[in-house]
Amino acid sequence: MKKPPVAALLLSSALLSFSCNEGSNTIFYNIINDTAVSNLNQLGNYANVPSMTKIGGSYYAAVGVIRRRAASGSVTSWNSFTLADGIHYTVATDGTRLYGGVVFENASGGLYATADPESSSPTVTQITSLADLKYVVKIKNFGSFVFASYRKTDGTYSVCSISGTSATEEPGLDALDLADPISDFSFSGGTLYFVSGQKVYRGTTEITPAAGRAYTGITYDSGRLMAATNSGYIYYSGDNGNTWPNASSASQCTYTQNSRTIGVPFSEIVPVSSTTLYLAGSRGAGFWIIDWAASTPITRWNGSSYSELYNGAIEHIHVDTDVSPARYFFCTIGAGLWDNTYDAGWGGTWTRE
Amino acid sequence: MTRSEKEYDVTTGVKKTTMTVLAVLLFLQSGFLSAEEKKPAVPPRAGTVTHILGDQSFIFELGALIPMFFVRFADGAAEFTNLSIGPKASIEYMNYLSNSVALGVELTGGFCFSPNFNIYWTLPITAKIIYIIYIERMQLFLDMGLGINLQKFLEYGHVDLFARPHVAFYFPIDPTLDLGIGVGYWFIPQFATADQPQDQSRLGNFLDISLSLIYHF
Repeated sequence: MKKPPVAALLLSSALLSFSCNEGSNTIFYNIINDTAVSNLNQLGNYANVPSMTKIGGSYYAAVGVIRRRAASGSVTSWNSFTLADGIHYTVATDGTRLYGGVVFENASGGLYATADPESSSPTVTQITSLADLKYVVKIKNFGSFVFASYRKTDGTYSVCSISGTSATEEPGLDALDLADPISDFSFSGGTLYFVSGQKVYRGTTEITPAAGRAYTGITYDSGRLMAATNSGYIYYSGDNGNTWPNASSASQCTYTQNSRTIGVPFSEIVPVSSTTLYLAGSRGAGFWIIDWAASTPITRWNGSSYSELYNGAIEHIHVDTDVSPARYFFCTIGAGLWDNTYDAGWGGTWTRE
Repeated sequence: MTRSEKEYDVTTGVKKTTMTVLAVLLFLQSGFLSAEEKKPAVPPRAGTVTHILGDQSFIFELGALIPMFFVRFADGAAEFTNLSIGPKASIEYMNYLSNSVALGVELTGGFCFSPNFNIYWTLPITAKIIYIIYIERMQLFLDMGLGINLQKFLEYGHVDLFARPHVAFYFPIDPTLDLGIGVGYWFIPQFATADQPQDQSRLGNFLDISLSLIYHF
């Protein structure tokens, strides 16, 4: 039996390992821009960080427990505390209180608040005014207005507004009997916008841009309403959702994973401070930049050298506009918490908390 | 003196002269005055090897890969590579065309680190032509390699053209082994693909310094 040509086998193996996945940037370009990450590894480089917020001088991240660190100064460590005995996965604030959603072992959950989150032993109040609360899906604040989407005990979904230690279901939503989770919502000018399954709502009015899409993100900013799907589409409206100019012309945003082309599963959209740009998080393709004035409005962030953020599952983007330039926190699932400033471009150093 | 006596004297004189010359010649040829025998013994020089068509060698190199700079094709500006110095190794098969010219095929591998400790892998495969200059016992190799460079950074791979002029000095250890040191300069033109921004095309410049061993067989 002939001996296999060992040298040929070794060379073939070497060649195969250099398979040509070209990426969206050249290799030398990626290398040049592979600037050092300030890897603090305080939260854990592979932590699940689905949500974070800021009250006063501290950041609060939901990482199973609540982790807190000073927003300024040289302290970079995160202290931890809990609101209840369970998994903390969503937080928000009205500027005074910290609100948190906690899920328990029996798959039920609760909504909690504390007025002294900076304390070493915060006083925690469970919000029980929603008698049919099964568990909280997401809590978000818009200035001092705090809302939470939640699942009811009857299996339907709704949104409540939170004030102090009381929560009230938004009027009219009960009648909608929404069977799909409300994965995102936005509030502006007294109007609540939210997405539920394949539908987009303005208050209790359905304003779905295109049928057959699963909507996962929505935001209203500066007169523009944007709705994102989990299949790579982002629609916009300039008239409060009455019409969607790109409903039939929107290009699908895709990315390549394991040699497959996949529609980008967008999660959340936030405005970039002092610009007309927006950032759209995705679950598996990092974040994308939206510039409606550009010929290609939606492009992927080109930081491929930061592969864990570039390919990250971004559940939430927190914007701290109290500092200048504003700092953007990318809450990922499985890749920790990343942040950087933006001022006509990203800052020189990405921080991994 | 009678005529016969004169003739006898001449004859005798010639005989005497002839005998004297012969004696001197014999004396000289006897080696008595030979310089070679009187010179002190000198150790013989190490044998030099002359290569002919078909002689073969393997060359093994191990050294450092030094990233120099990138040049943007768009505007000619130079940029810092953002890479650390890394190791590099190669193996080459060389076949002599004559004592001064040889052809070779070389496989090289090396890597460098980025600031985030991401690894830039490089695997040039080149065909080479080598010109050899003999200086006393040393050999000066002047060679040029042309080929391709397989590269990988993070999960991205790319194949570029590759050129490497190279200079090396070798000292013979024995008829089958030469040890040397060499310096090579890498040119890696990297062009953006159709899906990549064209202003990202760059010329990579690297330097390698290696210890080298030639095995002749």
